[in-house]
Amino acid sequence: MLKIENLHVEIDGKKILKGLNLEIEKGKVHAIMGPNGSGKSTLSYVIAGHPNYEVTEGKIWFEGEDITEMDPHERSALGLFLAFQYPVEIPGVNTTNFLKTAINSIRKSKGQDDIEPLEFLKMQKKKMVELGMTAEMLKRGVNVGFSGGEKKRNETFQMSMLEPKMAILDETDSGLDIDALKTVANGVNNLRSDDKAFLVITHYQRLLDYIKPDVVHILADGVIKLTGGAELALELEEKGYADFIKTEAA
Amino acid sequence: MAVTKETKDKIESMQNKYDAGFTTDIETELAPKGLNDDIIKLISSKKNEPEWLLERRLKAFKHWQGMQDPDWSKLQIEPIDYQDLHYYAQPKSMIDKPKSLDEVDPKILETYKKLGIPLREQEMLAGVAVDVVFDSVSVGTTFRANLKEAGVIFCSISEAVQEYPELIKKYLGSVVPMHDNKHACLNAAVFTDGTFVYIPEGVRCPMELSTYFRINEPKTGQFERTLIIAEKNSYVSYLEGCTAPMRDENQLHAAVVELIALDDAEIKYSTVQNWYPGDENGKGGIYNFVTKRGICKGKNSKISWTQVETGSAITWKYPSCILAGDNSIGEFYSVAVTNNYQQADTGTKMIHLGKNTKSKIIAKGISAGKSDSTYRGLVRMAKGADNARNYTQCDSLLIGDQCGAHTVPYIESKNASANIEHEATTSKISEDQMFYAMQRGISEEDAVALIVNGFCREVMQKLPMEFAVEAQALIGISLEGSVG
Amino acid sequence: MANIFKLHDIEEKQMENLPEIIKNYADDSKLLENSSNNWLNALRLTGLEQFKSAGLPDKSWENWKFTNLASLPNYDYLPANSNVSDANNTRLLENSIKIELVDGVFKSCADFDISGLKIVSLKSELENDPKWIEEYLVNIGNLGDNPMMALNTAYINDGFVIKTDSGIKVDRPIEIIISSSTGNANYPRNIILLEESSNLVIFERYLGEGEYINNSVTEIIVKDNANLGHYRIQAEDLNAYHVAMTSLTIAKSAKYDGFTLTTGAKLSRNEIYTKMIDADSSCNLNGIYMVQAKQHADTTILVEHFEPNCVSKQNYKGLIDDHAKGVFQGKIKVNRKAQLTDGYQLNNALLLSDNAEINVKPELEIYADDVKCSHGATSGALDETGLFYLTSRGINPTDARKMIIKSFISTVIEDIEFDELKSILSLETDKWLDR
Repeated sequence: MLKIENLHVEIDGKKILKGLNLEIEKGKVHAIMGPNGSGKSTLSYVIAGHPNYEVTEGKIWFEGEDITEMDPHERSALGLFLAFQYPVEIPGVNTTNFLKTAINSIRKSKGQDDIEPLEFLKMQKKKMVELGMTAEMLKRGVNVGFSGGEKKRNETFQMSMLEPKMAILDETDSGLDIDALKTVANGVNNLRSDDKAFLVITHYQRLLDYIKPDVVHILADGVIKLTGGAELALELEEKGYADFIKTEAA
Repeated sequence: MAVTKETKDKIESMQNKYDAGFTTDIETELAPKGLNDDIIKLISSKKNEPEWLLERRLKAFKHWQGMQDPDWSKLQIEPIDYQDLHYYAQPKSMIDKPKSLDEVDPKILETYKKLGIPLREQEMLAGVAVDVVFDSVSVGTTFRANLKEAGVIFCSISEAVQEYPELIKKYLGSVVPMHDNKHACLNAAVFTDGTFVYIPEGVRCPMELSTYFRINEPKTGQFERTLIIAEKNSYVSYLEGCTAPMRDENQLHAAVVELIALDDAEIKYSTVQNWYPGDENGKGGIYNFVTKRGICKGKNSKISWTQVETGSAITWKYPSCILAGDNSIGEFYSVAVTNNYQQADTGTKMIHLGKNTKSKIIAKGISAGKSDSTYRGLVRMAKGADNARNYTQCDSLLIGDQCGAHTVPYIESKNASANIEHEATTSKISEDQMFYAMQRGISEEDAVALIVNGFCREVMQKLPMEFAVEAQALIGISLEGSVG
Repeated sequence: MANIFKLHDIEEKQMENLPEIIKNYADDSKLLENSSNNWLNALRLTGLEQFKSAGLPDKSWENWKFTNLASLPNYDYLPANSNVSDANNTRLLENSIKIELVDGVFKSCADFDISGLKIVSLKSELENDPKWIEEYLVNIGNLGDNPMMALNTAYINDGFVIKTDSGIKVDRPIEIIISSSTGNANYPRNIILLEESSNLVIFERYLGEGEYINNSVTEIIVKDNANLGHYRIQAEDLNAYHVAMTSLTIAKSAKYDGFTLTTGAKLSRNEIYTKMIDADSSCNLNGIYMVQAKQHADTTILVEHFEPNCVSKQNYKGLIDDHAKGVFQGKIKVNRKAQLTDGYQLNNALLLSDNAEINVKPELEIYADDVKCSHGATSGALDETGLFYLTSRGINPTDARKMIIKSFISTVIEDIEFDELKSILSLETDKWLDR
């Protein structure tokens, strides 16, 4: 579903990713772990097409299509979703309106008609309850005045509304208490299916207790240093990054 | 306000940039070009006006000839050849006035239909009564009967001159005197038609009143005059929409609007202005030189201006409030969008005279392309304005690095107990917001329109529902081609 | 060149319908050095011509909308008449190098032993080393737009010149006492030039006795990486006129920290035009104006950003009592190239009496999109709730009032980057509050 080959990325002339390779198949959950500054967030931004990151070498394919040069909204239309580590506030635009615009934009790119308002409302109401969003939150400007936990909930809510083929969760666990973490993980698990894939980016193993990964990668110094099963995350938790990367890399 | 399907459809239907840019092929009776005493006499006689009004017109014209163009704005204005304009244009079929809308030239009605103004059936549903000014003549007013029942007078100003001469004599020019500025003075000399609204004591006008202005004839100036009087303890909400067809030359629109609110009365005045802005190279477009002023004459009265200005090559207007009555309230909510070579110099004056008077100014300016947008405003606390309050917030948004955004507020206080707070900011659309919206599948242009509409929300909320949808769509359309 | 020597031959009839203040120019000009520098004579004439065609600024000048100089009385140009008492001429800063300017004439400078620092009179520099100052006297913009600068230019003769060589960090502040005496019209012309990577602190104090006009022009240039602290206390006689024009040029990565306390003069105008001509520089233009009786105090600032990534901050507090009038006009102009500008401006005014008046015009003119610019302005009376809170704690109303006013102005004083000045300003403001 997603294939990254020899990816080199720079921002402001600084090399962040240095030849990264990654392949994620349908139905799988991959986790990427790594120390701070290893390039985890850069990877998520580059897959989603952030304009400030420059791909100097390598390619990204999604569903067989080369998306390396695509605009963010075109990638989104293909079914790629990024749950932001730091969701952005958009004052004056409420979440309902924002989501409806997004859904209809994606539908339009597929040649479909706008969603029926009633259908949208029904879907919104259902997912709202699942993810512990309140009607009041949907009326406020996107993420405006939301706590850290509420923002992450809103990201998961949007993900479940947009029903992407593949979702990248960028440190979705950071700043969440245990209850919020469970809700968010539930939201993700409900979406898991044979034709969807997930890339979970996290610093800690904690989230992976709730979202069980099929494959775990360790990212350090701009490349994948190590790949293994779910047990790799546990091992890492025990030994700590510094030690682990050193021993394994040696 | 959600961007509804309707809005999206509307944007799509307006893909041809300026949807209002068609002309109507109607036989028109035109006064010869140029301005002199005879033309003014002609206008006056066509309208069968009383002698005193003609004298006023001639006096204004005499004064106008010695006046200088207002020079305080940053606007670059090509000199206007006042002698190269028609000052009176009347569709021929209007000469024998229609008794009902059925008798109105279908082509005129078709024009409004294209504009999306539902003159009849749709209006019934929306509950809006519309007075339409087509070039210089008022075409037809809906809902006259309903309004009459409530005692509300809603008619063209020419009719009012005939039927309610005492009211006209008393109030016309009482808020905007003819000497006020050159454009207002010209209007006093040559105004052709416009709207008159009178809400009697204790009446809450049962529906939104609305006028659509349209300049159809080439080389025609439009000089309408609006007068709204709200008697004690009355309320009215008035909507004004403006369009003009695409033409190469610059057309002049010099209107005057006067509002009078007596004790405990409230007037809400909303404008959506999308006069033709000129093309991408700055050719053509309307010169929109408008003097709008209201006086809160009575205690506890309130005047609220809301405007969404997306059109015109040049906009020069400062809807203002004179807060004379104690405890009276003035409000100004404004969105001004400029793109390509448009110039807007707009803002308000809040003149606090009475005790405990309050004013609030929320102005949002969006500049794109090579355009310039200026907020110019005055807040004055006179000596007697004990405990008066003003709050002003001006925010500017720049899209691209070839445009300009300016804020020029004047703040004057002669009263220690009066409180003034003014804030202004200038920023651009954040890259983070754009990326976030685009990641969720929204295209670049839609993302800009969405974020800009969010930026303007405080003002858009003040618009009546049916205008808000149109205004949102207009903002998106005006900013087309401003990114990427 | 032919008209250069006409300076002394101006005929009386040419001077008809001119503002009183310039009517005796023919006589006055005899007191000016007829310099061997032809450019200087030409410059004075230009100033005179420009002033003659512009006249004294009144309401019809957009820039002078709130301050009318049309009725400025006629004072004599008497540069030699320095009969000012020495009572107030003691230094306020312990370690400072003291300079005295009396009636527009550079009178003295204390000895100092700092190489790379030059302090001289304009007059002597015009004789000894005129070449480098020519540029800074001649290129001061369009005099036709600035009649008071034109008037000063017609009378260019003396003033102070301070210059640091590059890399010189002067560790002693310079304290300049500028005093004027009654009946006099003074036109000091000053130049402050900081060469690259030099540091300097200047503290100017304006004093005087009686009715007079002090119309000064100061040209300040802060070159790359240099750092100037420039502080002023304007405490002219309450019957005097004070018109100070400052032209400030800030170069790459340079820094200017400015503060003005205005308590004096019947009518004052403190006008600062700041040009940020290169990237990465910063400037603070802060101040307090405290006016009483029928005083009129005008602060007019234009900060123009030409290059990217500069920070400019204006923060003024006004206290206006009795029948006094305060004026604040501040403008930030950001040109196309000046992306990443951070421009800020704030004016808070307290009206302390029923007859006090404030006029504010905070302006933004922005032509670059990636900027952060904002301004704010407030006007109002003392916070009654605050007063009540303090008095309910047993503080007497007079002290409570003072406390609130002190807290109102404290933030701008705290921001000053020259600690020694803070206590001086605190004393000055106390003096004003206890008057």
